Amino acid sequence: MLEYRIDRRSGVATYLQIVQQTKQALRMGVLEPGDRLPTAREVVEATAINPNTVLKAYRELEREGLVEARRGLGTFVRATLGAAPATSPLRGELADWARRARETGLTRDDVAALFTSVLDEHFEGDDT
Amino acid sequence: MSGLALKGPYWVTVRQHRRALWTAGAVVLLSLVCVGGLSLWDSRVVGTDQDDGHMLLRWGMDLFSLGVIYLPLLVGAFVAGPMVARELESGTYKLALTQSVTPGRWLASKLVTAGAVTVATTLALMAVYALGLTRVAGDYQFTWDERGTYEATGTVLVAYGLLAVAVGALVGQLVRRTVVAMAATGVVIGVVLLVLSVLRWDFLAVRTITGPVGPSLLVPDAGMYVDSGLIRTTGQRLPGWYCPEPLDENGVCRPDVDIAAQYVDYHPASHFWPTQFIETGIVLALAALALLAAFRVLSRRHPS
Amino acid sequence: MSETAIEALGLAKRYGRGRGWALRDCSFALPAGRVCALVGPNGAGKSTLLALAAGLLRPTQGVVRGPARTDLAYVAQDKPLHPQLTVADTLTMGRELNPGRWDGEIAARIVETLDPGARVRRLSGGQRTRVALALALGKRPELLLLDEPMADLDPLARHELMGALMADTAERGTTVVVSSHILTELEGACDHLLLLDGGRIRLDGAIDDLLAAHTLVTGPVEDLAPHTVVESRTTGRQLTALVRNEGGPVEGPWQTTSPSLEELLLAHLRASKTADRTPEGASA
Repeated sequence: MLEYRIDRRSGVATYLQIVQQTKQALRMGVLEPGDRLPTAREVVEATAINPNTVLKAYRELEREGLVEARRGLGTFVRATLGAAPATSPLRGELADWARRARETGLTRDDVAALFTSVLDEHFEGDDT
Repeated sequence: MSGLALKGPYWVTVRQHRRALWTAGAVVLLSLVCVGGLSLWDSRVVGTDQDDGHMLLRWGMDLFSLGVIYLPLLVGAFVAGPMVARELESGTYKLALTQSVTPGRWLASKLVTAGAVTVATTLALMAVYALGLTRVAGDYQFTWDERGTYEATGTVLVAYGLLAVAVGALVGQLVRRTVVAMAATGVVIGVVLLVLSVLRWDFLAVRTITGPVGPSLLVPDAGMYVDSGLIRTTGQRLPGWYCPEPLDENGVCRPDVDIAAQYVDYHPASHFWPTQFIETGIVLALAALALLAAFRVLSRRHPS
Repeated sequence: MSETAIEALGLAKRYGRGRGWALRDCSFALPAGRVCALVGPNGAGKSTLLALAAGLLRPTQGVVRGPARTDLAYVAQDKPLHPQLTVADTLTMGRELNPGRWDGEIAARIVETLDPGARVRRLSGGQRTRVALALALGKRPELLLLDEPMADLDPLARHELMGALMADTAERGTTVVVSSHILTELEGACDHLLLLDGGRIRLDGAIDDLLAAHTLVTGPVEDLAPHTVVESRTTGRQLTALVRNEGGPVEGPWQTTSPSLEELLLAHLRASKTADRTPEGASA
């Protein structure tokens, strides 16, 4: 079951944090079509946020066609996101690259900066 | 207590004041053990009133008479303080009055519980008192009209207990401070007891016997002495000390005073129950007034 | 959702003649199902408003219309409980005083970390809060009024109990009014706001709407007309102001951002303080 982590100090609206974390889970293959999202009750019990916030996030995900609400049953995943599940060859290549970067003596921050700059170069103008 | 199927606010009231209930029971039991034990001891020496057992029983019953009069004061103080004022003082009334029961039922459950326990305890103590009284009845200080004996052998004690419950409910709400409410209720009940103990012998007209001047007249029929003196030929009453004793056999006191007879005013023992009933009626009427006022105050503060 | 859980009309309370008004001219309507933060500085009238809503006080003026006694639960600031009862006794009391609607399971879950045989008088402040909340939630109210409920709790317990509260709201649509003078306690959990200060309501509405209705402006010191300025401060040549969005978007040499809830509250509190200082000051 997916667990949301809400950061009140991040400045990002709470419902957006839920939307983003759900999408992240879809990208990573943690959630697959047919999986049930936690109920609003389960989310708020664990996070102490307002139930309407959860419902707002789920509505947003539904609007984007990622999940569907089945009355009385819950909210279910309809589609995957991206083409990079945790087991894809791309992930293997990236892991390989990261190991080599470390062997050359780069620190974590160096690698992150490098990765971000390449990301910015190739995905310029795209939405997150 | 747990065997009783108490419901709703009654369960809460009993649970809250369990300790007071056990105490009431213990007091009754203790009095029974003391009076019963002393009576047994006294009964072993037959025919005399001067043995140790009898003296001790008398002493114990003396204390009992005193305690019986204080009983309504204790009841009133308990209802006013721990039962009512403390809830207002400590704020627990906010808890009680936001549950599903109405304020009226909340107060009623307290008063019915207190009333029932008071009546039961009073009756039990009266039974124990009656047991002890069989051995000392009629003794000096244990005649039917004596303070203590009078209260413990009739109906008035129960009525005073109920008055104390009602006054406690009223004063507790008005004062809202536990200790002050206890003291104030004690004073109110004490004053009522005192005033009525004086007034009660005016409820019924006294009986009078007259007789020729001579040796003092005796009160007949185990009656209660009220007053005595001399009567002039004009019918005017004079106090007994008017003529220094002894009077001469002609009844001449002073040449200028014509004494015709002497008199004694008294209440016969048959006045006991009528006096009890009148006093009980008055006390219950006062209790009803206090109860009405208590619920008035409650509903004014807390709409139901 | 448009059903009203509780509403007040011209509500005012004064504790005896000659004393000041604890609450004045209070009018609001809280939609059912909302979780409303009742915020304001100490002495703003929060407790008075909640006690009036709970039916424990009679208003001096005006009316407050809410659910019947059977359908509301109230936890007072000092968490009054009978000290001589045990935790288990206290829950039995809840059952006995709320026949037909008591949910022992919900109540038991909230106090499950406590010894049922422990007397209330021996409990810590936080543990008492737990018992008081268990009593309130066990009643399954339509409207739950909580006066500074989290003050005695450590952060973990606060999170857990707020979670339990939100779960109850999610499940049964309970309307909650929860007061605090610390906003961060409530942020995230609440979707409605009532800001009280000096016995008056300064701000009332859905939090999203309130945030959307204001803009935070920073930039050079210049006249912001025609916009309604809630509050503004100048430091050196820099102006910071909170304006209402009524007059359309703010055009000019300023930077505009959406305010955070905290910024919104602080601006309104500062504004109401200034208004109180000026005699018969026009409300901001």
